Amino acid sequence: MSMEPIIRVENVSFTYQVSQDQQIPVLQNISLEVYPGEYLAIIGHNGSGKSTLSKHLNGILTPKEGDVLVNGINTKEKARIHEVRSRVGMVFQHPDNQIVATIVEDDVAFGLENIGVGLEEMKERVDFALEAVGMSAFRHRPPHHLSGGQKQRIAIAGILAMKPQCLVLDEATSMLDSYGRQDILAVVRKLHGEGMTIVTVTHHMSEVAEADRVVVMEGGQIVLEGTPREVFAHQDRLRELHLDVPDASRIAALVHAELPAFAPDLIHNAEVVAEVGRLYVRQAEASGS
Amino acid sequence: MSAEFELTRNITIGQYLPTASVVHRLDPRFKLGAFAILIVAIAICNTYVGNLFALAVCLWLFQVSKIPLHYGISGIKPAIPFIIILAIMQLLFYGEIANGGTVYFQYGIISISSESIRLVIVSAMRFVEVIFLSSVLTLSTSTTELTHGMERLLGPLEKVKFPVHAFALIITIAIRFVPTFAMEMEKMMKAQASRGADFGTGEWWRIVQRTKDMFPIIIPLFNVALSRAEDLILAMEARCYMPGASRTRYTQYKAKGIDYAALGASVVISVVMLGIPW
Repeated sequence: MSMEPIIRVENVSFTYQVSQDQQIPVLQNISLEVYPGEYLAIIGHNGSGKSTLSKHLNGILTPKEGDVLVNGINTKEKARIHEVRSRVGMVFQHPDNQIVATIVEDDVAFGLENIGVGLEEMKERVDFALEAVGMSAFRHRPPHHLSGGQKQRIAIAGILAMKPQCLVLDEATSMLDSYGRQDILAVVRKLHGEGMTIVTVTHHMSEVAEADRVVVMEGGQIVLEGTPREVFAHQDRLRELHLDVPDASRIAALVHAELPAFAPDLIHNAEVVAEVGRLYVRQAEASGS
Repeated sequence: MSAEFELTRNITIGQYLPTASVVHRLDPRFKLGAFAILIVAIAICNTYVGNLFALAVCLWLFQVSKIPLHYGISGIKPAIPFIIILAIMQLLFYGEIANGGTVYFQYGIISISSESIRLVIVSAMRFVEVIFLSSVLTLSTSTTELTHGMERLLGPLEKVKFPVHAFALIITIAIRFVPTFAMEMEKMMKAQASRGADFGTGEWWRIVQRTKDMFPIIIPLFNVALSRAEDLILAMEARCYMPGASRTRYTQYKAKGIDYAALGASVVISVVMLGIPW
């Protein structure tokens, strides 16, 4: 990928000040680039710094050392923070805690009101965003009548309305039931298909398998990086880091240990089925001839 | 027993009753303005006939807004003790201040005159009228419209650096989180009750005991509220919220003829009410 990255994280370190003489280092000298149209997953167990890193991507936190550049704009530039935040939108974990208004469409418009978009354009963008997440029918509802997945879709709509280039999901599916999660993943998949850059921080390995690239964090540092297939090949290493692998990877590794013909590097359920099919057909052919 | 924990079911935020009447469709800015004028007029009006007229106007408003009168009456019920206490105080101690008229009875500082009797009756009527009016207003206007209307009406205060928008946002967020916290509280009550806590079983006059019973709910609720607030701030900042920055508005109101008519009507009614000499 030779194009310019949307987000460039350069040697970033961050510490939380606990008391006057006690600091907890959360990020240590991290460098990372996010490219346009990419689907990046950040994983790591609790306290690995992944959420802190994601909060640096749109200037909610600014690095103690190093810089974060969004389209060349340093997130430390207070005067241009609006530009950064309308380019990199962020959806948080708790669906209830990010909805501000008492009516769905008012909430979707909240970010637009903040950046001073005119009325006509605002209406268009609210329509567009609600349509994109499939919530147009709910526009006049109060948010407390919606399910968790629906609330989270509203939160995404509120970000989409601002026409960001990059959507950061900070454990956005972790409070949802599996139905709500599927819902959100479908929306994210669709947006990515339309060219949106996605950065997702997650615990769910099935979500990670969909990404183009995975970054594994531990103790405030990036310890593994690569495509999901490359990363999930290091099952022992991941286990040391208290991380799971997708069911498909685990099954493939188990079968591979007994039957070496079975491919070990599978990450999607469908691949397991295809691999079983492939071996089954080969066997049938062998016994048939 | 189970009903005690069903907090979310009983929640009415505001008490909007959608009957799609003319009153419901009024521009909230004009509606608030008109009701404010009427309430001020009622507060000034101290004649029997004027107040009877105001009462008639209130009943007529229930009629026009297609709201059953019992909604208004149920609003008066909790106020009855206050009205009675107020009436007794005024009857006994206002004879000196409300001078003029014939004195019927005098003993020490207690003095009852025709004027103080009039004051008692008029202020009881005022009470009822104001409750009726505010019932019609809140029953015919959603909380969202109320906050929007209020924000627009207070708009000019921004010139003297009063943070009108922040004020409206605080109200909006408060309303937005009422059901969330009700649900939270319900969860906590159930959790504490399942571990043997007692709620509301003590006698009602043992206020201290009953307050203490609520501590295991109130303290975690505060805790949750603070962490939610922190999340909300992050989410608002991520969507470019800057306190005090100028913003555009998604909801726009455009006054129609009927809105001006309503405002005009409230002025006329007020003038008539105050013009009645008896």
